Amino acid sequence: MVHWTDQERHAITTLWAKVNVEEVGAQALVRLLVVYPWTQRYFASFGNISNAAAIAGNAKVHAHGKTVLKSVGDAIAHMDDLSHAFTKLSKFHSETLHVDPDNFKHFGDCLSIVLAATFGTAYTPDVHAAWQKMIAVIISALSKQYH
Amino acid sequence: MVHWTDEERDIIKTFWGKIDAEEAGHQALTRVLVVYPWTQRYFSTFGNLSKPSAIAGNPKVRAHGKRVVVALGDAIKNLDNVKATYAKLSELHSEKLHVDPENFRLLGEALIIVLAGQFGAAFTPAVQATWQKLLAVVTAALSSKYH
Repeated sequence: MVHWTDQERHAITTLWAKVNVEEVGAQALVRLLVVYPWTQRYFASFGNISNAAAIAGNAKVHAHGKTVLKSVGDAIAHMDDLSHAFTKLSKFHSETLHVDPDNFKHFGDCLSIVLAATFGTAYTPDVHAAWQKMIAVIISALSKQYH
Repeated sequence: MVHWTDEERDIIKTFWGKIDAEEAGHQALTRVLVVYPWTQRYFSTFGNLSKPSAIAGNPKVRAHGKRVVVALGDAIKNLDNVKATYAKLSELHSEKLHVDPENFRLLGEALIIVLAGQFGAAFTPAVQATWQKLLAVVTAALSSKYH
């Protein structure tokens, strides 16, 4: 089980309370598709994702970004038992979606960057460290059912 | 040889012109030491690194951060020949400093977060992609003399 200090819980939940899930989710997913273009292979049904502008304007990308960020919210609500809470989601990514788990890290990096861009100086080194840990725990839980 | 598009060269030069090397370097190195605490092993002569506020206030961290980002300027001035530009620096990191090259990647990630925090929405996905490419080229060049 992951050990969280009070400072880490506070940093994570306080920032989360200010996150616009739709906006941050969309921005993170747009960045993933632009910065790591091979990830576009998972979104062939999304229509036009042929360049950065198309990706940024794509309604399906926005909607899916929101879905993913909502799951990050679920993760935070279950931060003391995430491996268990994310069992189904992990199996889904492995057995149905066939997502290479390396991409979880790329998405996590993009999320951290969007948080930095959104919150500026409020995304202090300790807040950044707490979120980096949260993201690592999410990645671990999502990867757990892969075989 | 690395191929740079005109757009990438433009993005790099434009943003470089707006970066304060001392401030960006200080913030990036502070984040490395806070978010990836094992890196503190390389800085045992720097005095008090016992907690984030100590690290952020440490003048040796600030001075060293500045030095690192000023050196990044050399790569930016020689985009078509980063490997040769950094040959001696690579040898120094390998043979004298014994820095695990993984840490170059961590510093690159920290710098991206600092830039995102500083520039906010102006740090677009395309700008992020360009800077990640630059830092990947720098990391490769710094690693090239390792044996």
